[in-house]
Amino acid sequence: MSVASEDFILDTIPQRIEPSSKRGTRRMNVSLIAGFAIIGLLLVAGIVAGFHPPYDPYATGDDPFAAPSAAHWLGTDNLGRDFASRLILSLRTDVLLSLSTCLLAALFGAVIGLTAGYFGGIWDAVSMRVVDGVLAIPGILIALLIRVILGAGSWQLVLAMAVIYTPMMARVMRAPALQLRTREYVAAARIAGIPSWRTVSTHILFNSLSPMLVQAASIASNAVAMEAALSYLGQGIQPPQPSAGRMVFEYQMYMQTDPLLVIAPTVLIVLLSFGWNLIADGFQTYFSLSESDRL
Amino acid sequence: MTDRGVTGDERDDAGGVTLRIPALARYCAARVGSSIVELFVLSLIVFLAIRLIPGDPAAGFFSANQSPTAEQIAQIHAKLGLDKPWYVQYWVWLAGVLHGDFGESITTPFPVGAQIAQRFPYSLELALMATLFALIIGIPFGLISGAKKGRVADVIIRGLSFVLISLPPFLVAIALLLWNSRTAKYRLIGVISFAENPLGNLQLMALPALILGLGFGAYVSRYTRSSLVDDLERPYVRTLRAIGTSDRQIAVISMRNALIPVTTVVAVELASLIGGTVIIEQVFSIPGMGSFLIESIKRSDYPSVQGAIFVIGAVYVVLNLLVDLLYPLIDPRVKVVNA
Repeated sequence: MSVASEDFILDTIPQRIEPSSKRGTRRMNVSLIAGFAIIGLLLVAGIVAGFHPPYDPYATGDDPFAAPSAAHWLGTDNLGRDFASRLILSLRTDVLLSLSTCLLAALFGAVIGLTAGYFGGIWDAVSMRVVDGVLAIPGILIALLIRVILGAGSWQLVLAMAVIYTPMMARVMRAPALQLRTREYVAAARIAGIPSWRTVSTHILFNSLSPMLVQAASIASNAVAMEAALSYLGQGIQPPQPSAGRMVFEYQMYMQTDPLLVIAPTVLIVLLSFGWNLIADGFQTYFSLSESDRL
Repeated sequence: MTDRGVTGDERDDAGGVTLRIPALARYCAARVGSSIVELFVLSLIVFLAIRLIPGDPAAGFFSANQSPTAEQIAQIHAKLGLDKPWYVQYWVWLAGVLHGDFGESITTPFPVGAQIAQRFPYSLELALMATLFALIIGIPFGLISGAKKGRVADVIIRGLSFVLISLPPFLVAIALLLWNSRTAKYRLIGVISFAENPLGNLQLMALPALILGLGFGAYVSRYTRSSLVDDLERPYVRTLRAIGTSDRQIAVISMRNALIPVTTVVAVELASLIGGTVIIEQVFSIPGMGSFLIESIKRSDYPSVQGAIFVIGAVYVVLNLLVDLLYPLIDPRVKVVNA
């Protein structure tokens, strides 16, 4: 899925710096609350329960395809493994993957984008050409190419997704840096002899946080979908480690007889992707001065 | 995808036409030129990436308990052309690709080029049909949503499009297949050759294309809406309103302006559409480029992987170029910049 366009991101940058002028318009909105509720809940469930699942998610049992019961809340899978425990573990995998992708992309993207916008010159020209080059290749091809070279697995997947999403963040972060570097306070900082790395990492960064947050949430949502797709294709998370996309792939041959095995991970992926998207949408509304139309 | 080279915002003082034929020609030449560079870089990346894979292709010529001498290995390297420097190998490969020769598959008896030729039409059909569905669904809903900004219809359409954007298409597909298997039990999987049964081919391709088109259409709808809302705020609309033009008439006039930028969203969404076809082909067992790529990766058939990635990437570059070249034709007001 695509990301929020650069044009609207420009709209979210505060045009004036006086805090009083817009604090009043920043209200929590339904999207933001709902998004945080969904992601927060899944995060807590995944991380807390993921380390203490009710059963060993890898332990096979002698009762395959058991119906949900008091002992096994969601029944068991084709190998008699407790399905609820596997689902919880896959939730942890998915939450951690989307979070780490999002953090890596935010970190590298912010560094590249802010420095390119602030310093300009050759660095700007070169880095932005590379960014455009990566953006010009469909993300899934990059992911599959990296998978072919490095093999399949969790860290390879995070690396591949970071490569795909860093350019999006870099593009988004360059715009505010370009705009902010002409501000008086930046000139003042320069005159005061503050080193430029400090100006960039404090003034420019903190005044660019709003588009960064919108983009980061959007990247997390995309990463959930990308991970699910790659694992579904058998090219992402490798067995026996469960991930929601991988489970849809593994269990789809049993979906006639035991549809819950496919429905539950599907719901999980949709909830995660939807939750992150709600947060992106909520941040957008939260930081906008007016109700801006957006893509 | 950014810096498209053409922008609708730059008008001269009279607000009129600034695109002259030489500028247009220059623009087209520049766009074609940069596409050729993109294709070149793509081929280089694909070629070098495959070479980064650890292991020696000569290993495939010996069984596990054989211990070949250095001479034997050198002989095989010479046979495969691996004794030459990488740029010579690249050149040989590229020259072959330009003649439609993608080399031999190492796990199937068919040349890579022939397999691609067989599978390519299905993927192209799927992508084109999905785009068609996206436009048919997205444009009307986007226009209604924009014309009735803030009203119930707008809220419903925006909500729906938001949900559709968050839904990975392959999950929608699996849910529909599951539902179908319990109720109607139609045949939904596989393909029928267009040459043998055109109607059957289109019928079977319709569902995967529709599923891909839904998410894409949601973007088109959002974009159309915001474009119409922007256009309705322009001064000429105020003038029309002042002279007593009805809202309905204004909407009809503004609609034409609002639809121009929709070309952009089609270009921007091409990448995710191509990603979508790779996955949806797998769900519906469509023997297209995507499933060829995935099968080849699973079999470690590197010449095939190389060919598949290059062709899918090249299609993307070419489609992008076509959209860019169409842009000045669709919107004659655009001014060419950086050409």
